[in-house]
Amino acid sequence: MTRSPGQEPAETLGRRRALQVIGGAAALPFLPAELFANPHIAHLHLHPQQETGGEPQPLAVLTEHQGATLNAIAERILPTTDTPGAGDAGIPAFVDRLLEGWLPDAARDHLLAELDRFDARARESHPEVGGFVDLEDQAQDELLTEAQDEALARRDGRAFSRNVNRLHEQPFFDLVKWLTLFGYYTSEAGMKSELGYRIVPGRWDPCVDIEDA
Amino acid sequence: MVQIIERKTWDAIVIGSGITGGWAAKELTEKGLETLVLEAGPPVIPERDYNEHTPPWQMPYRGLRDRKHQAERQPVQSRAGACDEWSGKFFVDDIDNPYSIGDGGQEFLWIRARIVGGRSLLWGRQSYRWSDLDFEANTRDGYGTDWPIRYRDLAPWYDHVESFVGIAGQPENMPQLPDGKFLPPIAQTCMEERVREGLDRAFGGTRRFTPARVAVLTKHHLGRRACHYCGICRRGCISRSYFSSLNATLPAAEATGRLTVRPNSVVRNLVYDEQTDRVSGVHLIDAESMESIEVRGRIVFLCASTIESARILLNSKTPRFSEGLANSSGQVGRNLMDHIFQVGANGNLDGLEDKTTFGRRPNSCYLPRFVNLDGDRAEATREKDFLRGFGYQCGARRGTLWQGGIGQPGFGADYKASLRGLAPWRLNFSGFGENLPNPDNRVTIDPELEDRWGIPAARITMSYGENEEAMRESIQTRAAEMLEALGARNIRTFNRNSLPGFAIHEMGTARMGRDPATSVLNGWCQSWDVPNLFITDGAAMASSACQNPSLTYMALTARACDYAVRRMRRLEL
Repeated sequence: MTRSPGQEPAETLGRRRALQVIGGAAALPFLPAELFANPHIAHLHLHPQQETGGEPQPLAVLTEHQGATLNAIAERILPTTDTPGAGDAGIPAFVDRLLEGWLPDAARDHLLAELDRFDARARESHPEVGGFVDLEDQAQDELLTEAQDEALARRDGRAFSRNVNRLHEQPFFDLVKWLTLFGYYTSEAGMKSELGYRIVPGRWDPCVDIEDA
Repeated sequence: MVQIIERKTWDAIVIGSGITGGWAAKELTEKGLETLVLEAGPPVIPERDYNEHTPPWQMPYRGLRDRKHQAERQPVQSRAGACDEWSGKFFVDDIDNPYSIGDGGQEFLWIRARIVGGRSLLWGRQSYRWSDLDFEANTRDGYGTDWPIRYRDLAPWYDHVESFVGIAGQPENMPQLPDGKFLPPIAQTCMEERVREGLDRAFGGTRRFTPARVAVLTKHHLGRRACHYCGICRRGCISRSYFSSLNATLPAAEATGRLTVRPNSVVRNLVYDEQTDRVSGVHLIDAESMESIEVRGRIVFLCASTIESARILLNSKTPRFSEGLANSSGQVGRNLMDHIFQVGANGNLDGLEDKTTFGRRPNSCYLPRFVNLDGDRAEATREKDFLRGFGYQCGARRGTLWQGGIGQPGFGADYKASLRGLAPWRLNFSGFGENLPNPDNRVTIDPELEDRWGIPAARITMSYGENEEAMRESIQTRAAEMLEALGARNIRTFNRNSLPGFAIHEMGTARMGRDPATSVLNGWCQSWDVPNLFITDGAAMASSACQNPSLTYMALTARACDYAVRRMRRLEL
């Protein structure tokens, strides 16, 4: 089939698409100049959804109790000091997301089973509580120390492997420590408070005193 | 079979909207030509699609990437560091865009972006002029064929593109890396200043540690804002501070009123008219409707990227050009080159423990080639084990301690405190080495494999040779000797034997030359065989040098546009 000359030429479509394509860039000069004096403000103006963040989503894989247990473990690994702890870093939501769509099945099953096993141990040693999350700091630290010793023995000098296909072989303590570290130092609380991260620094200074950075 | 023939004849059709397609669009429209740009992929809307200010905590996997999607749909693309959770959407789907590896070749990593703006959205932005050390290389040692141009031919066009792009850089007055029209450089860290002085002292000024020259604005420039140092350019740039087609050339072309961009237009082949001995148009597949469409133009600029441009020519067979359009020389698809990289050395430097940096700069440093130089430096710099040379991308910086935290035993408040702060300064040299032209390294058409649009796929056969192997050794040794001269500790050399394609500097498949029998293009990037066809992407390169090539592609494109329009005005095309 060949369209005869005189039918609506596709160039009309091309022109319309072109305007869509270049529209953003061409429109730039018409945005107020002062907006672009601060690129972060400019971007928020253009991406208003970024500041709202949205409602916290319910957990998809973890039970609420499992999420609370993970949060309590994370807070003991990186506790609140002069900066927020990992308990304020949304670790349950982050781990839940990995369980749902990122971790291989073997690693997911391993992490969930080990989390339950760890919590069961808390109830065995402290029959009066419902789980790790109910324990005092000191009792929590004792259980984590035990898990850390077990991990050291199991690893037998080998380093923790982040290889996604080896995660199901990693001891529980190492796995949860890695998730806590990564989750905390990529969270808003960890990046802004602990690392002093600014989304838009606005300038480059090649040599500053550490305390001013 | 073509279903729709559009009746309009464009003054020019540009295939590809990447770094060279964008320049062709700008130059041709500004010279008065009604220009159609065909882009295989979808539009990118900066306000919607750029995400450089989206922090990790707003990404689903905090930067760990959409691993399952990448394993399924981007097994090749995801090997590139830039194809991360933020920028992965800009890279192609490997299942829709397959290619094969020819017998005897190494695995080739073909990293691609099919979007309006192409890989100019994702490039490393390093911008270096080539010199006659490079343009005379082939004729000096006999590999490849002589470039038909010299530095003096290209110098005004480097001026031309640099003036528009905006390159932050520091003049160094080194013949092998000519200075350009620079914006102020991005200052080196205090440790890097020490390194520069130390190397100047140890090597008599022959190893110059200079701020990397990058296409990023250090002051407001032609309506684009100065960099705000957020650090990860490849996710886009809402203030248009780094150069890309989308940030700079396409808006300039659009401003003429003579530009039409047609996204989702996958070029199948060029249409050749035996009567006039010209390309009369382009046969494309609409990526969404799957319709087969022919568009017509008076001249065609093929800017689809090195391998894609070769594939289009090889898929454009005619009775006269039974081996592919513009291929009477048999050189289309041959002499595929890339740069060797992921090889070098690093070490710790003592001192300045109380100093760090503020902001995230879009560059680091560069150490220009210092081996196998020409002229009166030839004898002193000659290497016995390999031809040509290499430069280093390099820099001294401090990492954060938390990243090594999993290797440190313990937990709790003291543990957290121990992860605060910065690692010692570490100086890294990462080499980029020249790859000799070799006619056996080539792109052909796979006899069976087709892409999602039914277009025969590329087959890539490429291997690095002994010269590249020897150069990898020297890159490590020379880097280590500089670290030793600076008194570095914990010196570690590395060589990851980068696969062909992985530097994403592929070039050479339709080389320029002096002789129609041995080259595809003349000195104006014009096809010897088909005079209204110009190829100005990396395909045109006759050698690879060791510098990042994009700036040279841009200069060649602008120069070819000027030539083409002058010829058109004299009715010679």
